Amino acid sequence: MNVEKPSRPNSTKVNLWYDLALFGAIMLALSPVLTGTAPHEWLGIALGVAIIIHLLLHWAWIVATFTRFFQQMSTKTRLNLLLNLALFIDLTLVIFTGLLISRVALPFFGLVVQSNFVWRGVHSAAANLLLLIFGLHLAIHWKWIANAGKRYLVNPIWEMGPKAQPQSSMLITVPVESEVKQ
Amino acid sequence: MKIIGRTLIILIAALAVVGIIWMVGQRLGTNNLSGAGGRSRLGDFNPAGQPPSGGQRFAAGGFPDGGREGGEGRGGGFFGVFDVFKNLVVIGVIVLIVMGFSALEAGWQKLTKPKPAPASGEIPGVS
Repeated sequence: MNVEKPSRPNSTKVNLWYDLALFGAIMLALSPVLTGTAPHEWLGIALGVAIIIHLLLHWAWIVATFTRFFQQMSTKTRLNLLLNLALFIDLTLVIFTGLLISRVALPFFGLVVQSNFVWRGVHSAAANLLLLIFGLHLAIHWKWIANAGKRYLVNPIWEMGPKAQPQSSMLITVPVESEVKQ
Repeated sequence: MKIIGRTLIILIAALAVVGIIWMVGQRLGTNNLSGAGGRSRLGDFNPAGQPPSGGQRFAAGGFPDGGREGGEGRGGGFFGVFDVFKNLVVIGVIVLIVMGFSALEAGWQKLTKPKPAPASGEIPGVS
């Protein structure tokens, strides 16, 4: 009896799809003009959870880099860690100040928040900074994004198109030739 | 179990950040969650539709000092697509700049990299 072992999902593929979804969610969350207040707030809270999952997916790298930080390490990796740290702090700031000025999400849980103009300003400034740090985060990982995107997004779509045509035409011609012989 | 522990570590780190923000906020006198009482020195946001109460320094539905509100109302709108597009352009420009710098750095390293000395017995330029 053949019992097939469940294959482990390809981590690069999982990371690519997860990060793409996260990117889309961040883009939406950074545009409250598009979503409106209520979806903006709920999306922001959901992003908090999504970021935790993102960090858990990259836990091995985080631990390895933190433990080697004061030892020998390339400047690029060190900068990358510092940038990720800044991104984490800024994201926390954005989500926390977002909760402090919440008009929908916190009142839903029965928490009344007297929204404050300063917190709103901090939220706005931190969100603008987030766009910058997020851009740098993407730029640093661009090679990985491009390679994984090419492998798991572009290539499968490309293979579905032009290469599939000759095969299908061959399938059609085979019965035609046999009919001629008959 | 492992995941729970890791999640707790992340949450503790986030709480540390929140604690620092909260402390800074208290020093600035900006915390006014429910129960904290008084108003901020800089004025409160007045949600649209609420009748203005006494002592407010701004019109209903607005911010004092012309705060950022714009389309960030309750409904959202199609014009927000331009906002997304603008953000995408900003990110694209950042990625291009960083990639440009990386390419320049790689090119510079290639130029300044010392060429390997020819092996003994080999005549340079003759293969």
